[in-house]
Amino acid sequence: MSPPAQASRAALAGAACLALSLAFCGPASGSRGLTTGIADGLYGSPDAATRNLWLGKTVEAGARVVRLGATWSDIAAARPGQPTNPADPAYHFGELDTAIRSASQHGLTVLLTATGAPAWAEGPGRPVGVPAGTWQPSAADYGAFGQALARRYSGSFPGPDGLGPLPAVRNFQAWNEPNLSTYLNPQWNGRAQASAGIYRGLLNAFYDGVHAVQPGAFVVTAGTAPYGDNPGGARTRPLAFIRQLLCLKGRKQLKPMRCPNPAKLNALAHHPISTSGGPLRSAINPDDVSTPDLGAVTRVLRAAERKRTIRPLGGHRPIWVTEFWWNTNPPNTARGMSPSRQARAVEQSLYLFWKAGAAVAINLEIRDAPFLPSDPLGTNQSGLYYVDDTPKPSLTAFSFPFVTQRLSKTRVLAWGKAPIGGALSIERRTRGTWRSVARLAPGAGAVFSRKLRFRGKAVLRATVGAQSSLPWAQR
Amino acid sequence: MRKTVLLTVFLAFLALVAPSASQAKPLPNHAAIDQYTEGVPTAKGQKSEQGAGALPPGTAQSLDSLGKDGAAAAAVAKVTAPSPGGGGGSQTSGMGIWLWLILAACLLAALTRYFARWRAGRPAG
Repeated sequence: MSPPAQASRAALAGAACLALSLAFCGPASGSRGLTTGIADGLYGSPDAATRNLWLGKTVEAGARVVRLGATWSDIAAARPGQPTNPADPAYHFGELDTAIRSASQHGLTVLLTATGAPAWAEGPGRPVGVPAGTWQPSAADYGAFGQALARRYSGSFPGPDGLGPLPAVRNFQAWNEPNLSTYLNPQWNGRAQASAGIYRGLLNAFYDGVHAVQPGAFVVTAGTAPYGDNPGGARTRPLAFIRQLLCLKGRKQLKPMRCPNPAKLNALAHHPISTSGGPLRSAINPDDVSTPDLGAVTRVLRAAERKRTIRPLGGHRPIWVTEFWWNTNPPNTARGMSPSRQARAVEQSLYLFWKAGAAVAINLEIRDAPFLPSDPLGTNQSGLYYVDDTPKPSLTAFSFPFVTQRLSKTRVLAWGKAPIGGALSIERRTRGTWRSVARLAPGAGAVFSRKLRFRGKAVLRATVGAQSSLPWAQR
Repeated sequence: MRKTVLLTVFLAFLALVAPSASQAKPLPNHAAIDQYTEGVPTAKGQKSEQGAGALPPGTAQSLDSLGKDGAAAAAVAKVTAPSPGGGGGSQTSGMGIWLWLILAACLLAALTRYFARWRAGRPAG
């Protein structure tokens, strides 16, 4: 083909594509929201300047939730005489008080994760090699600790710092990743599943303890880790664990099972982390749940609600992703992806979580933990900032996610979350120039979606005010 | 013909040596992070996915970007890929040192035969 003819055909094709892309259809915006959050040890830093710097950057990143750890074994190393009374002299809340106060001052919602049993609350005979704080924790003692937390952070408990009442916390998470032997043991008694039953006892005691003080509080289950092992291994597959927890049996046809003590929860959490591939890579085992498989958790939760195997009865509970992460290389040479790929994975994950029904998604780390070449897998480098405080591309991806997905040969779904309210434009790059193909007006932090019509490849982005999302290549 | 035989033997030798060199550095065992790795079913039971290099990162990324089909292809590639071997030479299963001795002997035999024919002035094959 001669160059002029080639150019002419390209121009015609371009014009046709533009005309098609301008003809949009579908609702103006997604009706369901997605609240984003971040978990990071920096929020609990004893240094106020460090704490406030990173809480401020968290707000700038569009996060509305911070996940803080309330480590039971640290707060109550010695058994309290009055375990439901947070003023008991055996309790030491010091750093948690300051972290919660700082988060509250930044307008952030706190999710408080209570985990790690003190030695006095563990079952007898912890085997050698089993991590401390994980062996058959006492449900009654954990419930009392939950009550003490809910009372201390009820909004009316006087702070020991003399700065007035401590801020209210309404979201409490019972334990962390109870399907891993890192956090709860035993996982199995021989080939019989054990940890889900132990965990149900802990959850219910915690739920009752928290609700005894704050009837309106929100109790979130511990996020399950994405992968498990075959019966008798070190881990339990998350879907098998969740089914057992929610008193269901069967894999394809979920049926109620006899359960004298149904699980009590206000939200179900999972950690759909992927370590075997990108965000589109499903777990191999149907009972494992990585990034694109979260819908399977939603399905089990909905079945439990329908079959009335959980409490309280009625309504739909939300799914919370209380941890996800994508490490970058640099600096993590052992299992990191490129920073640009991390950015793409972050926004694609947020879309997949939302699509699966998640209401909350919490990224692990605002800033990378230091990378230790001697222990390359010991820390995470999944921050939105490098350890030297410079931002990664994932900061934009997290605060203004925008992705597209082809629905058919001619239709593409554009999805995103607006960092601010106002006139938002979806743009397509045509010969080096960005041209608007759709206009919307979502509110600040709102999820938006729009179906576009075009064939073939395209590069798109969204802009609102002076902010632009990262360009997304639709292949 | 002689060149082809020699080249084939040499390439076969290189192909067998190269992957082993890349497997020589196993990832350190870290109990906590191991709990986030996917178990891959194998004929000998479940195996940790960690460190398995079935696909180069670039290829895996390209497959991921192709959507569900690509991701499925990547998954198949990973499942069907040979194990990277977890440890050093001592942990290599199969023939171990005998494999190297046999390969070296084959190469030596091929080279000896080639030079013997070349010295005798008779074309090989």
